[in-house]
Amino acid sequence: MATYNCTFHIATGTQLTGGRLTGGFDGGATPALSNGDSITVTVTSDFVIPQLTGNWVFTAAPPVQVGGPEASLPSPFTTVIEEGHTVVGQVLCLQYSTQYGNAQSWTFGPVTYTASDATKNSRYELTFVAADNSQAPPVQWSEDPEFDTGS
Amino acid sequence: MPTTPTTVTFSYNIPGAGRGGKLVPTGPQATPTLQSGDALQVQVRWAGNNQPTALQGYIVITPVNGSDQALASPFVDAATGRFACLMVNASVSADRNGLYTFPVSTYLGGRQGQFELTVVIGDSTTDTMWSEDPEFDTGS
Repeated sequence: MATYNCTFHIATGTQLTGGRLTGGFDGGATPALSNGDSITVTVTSDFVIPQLTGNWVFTAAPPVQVGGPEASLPSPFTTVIEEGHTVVGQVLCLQYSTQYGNAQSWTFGPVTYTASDATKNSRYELTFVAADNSQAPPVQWSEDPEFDTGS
Repeated sequence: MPTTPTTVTFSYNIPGAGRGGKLVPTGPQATPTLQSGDALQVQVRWAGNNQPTALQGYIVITPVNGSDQALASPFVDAATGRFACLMVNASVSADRNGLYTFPVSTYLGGRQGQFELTVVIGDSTTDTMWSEDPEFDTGS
């Protein structure tokens, strides 16, 4: 059970405008998740931010070769909900959480991969938006690294 | 010669409730280029039974993968200069033709680049979500 951390940085000079997150998965390589592995996201900044919301969005990544097969689902993660007496796993495309308290480092997640035939050996994209919603309009930073799932 | 501003639309079908999944593109798949004054929007048609009264739309703008361009988004708040990376439409109802329309923004020019539009459509009554991420360019 491995945890792959993605570290993003918010650079000075973007306090008022937002912009791009820099960085990506630690080590620089595209991780390949196996059953039970998790992803976390750490955001650091050059300045104090009063609160930060981490928005995770998952989509299928483009195939390696043009015209090649693409993941059949947009995300390898599920969110479990109860419908009456039935527990179902819905495809997790978006999740977000907010952390408060003036800080310069935040960690979001984890999200944990449970392998299925529909999600093995596929490529996905994590689009991450860090937002300071204490300001209006919010100050936002974004980036979209890719990750794989193994067999 | 300047062109007349237009509305660029990414169109999708949602096959029905189920567990959620991928939005199914309809219409042309070419990468559009927005010129100054052009508006961008997403339209979704519910193709299954039990059409929801309302859907939620989450639109995320990022540079295309592997890009080193400085711009996070071509859409900027005019008053503050803040990049619009995430836009939320909390509740959109279908029109008489069954289309749910999620406005994104209008491109005001001067921010040329290649961008990705990541779309998540949610049905809060069933906690079901669908997503897709087409690309678009912006002209000078």
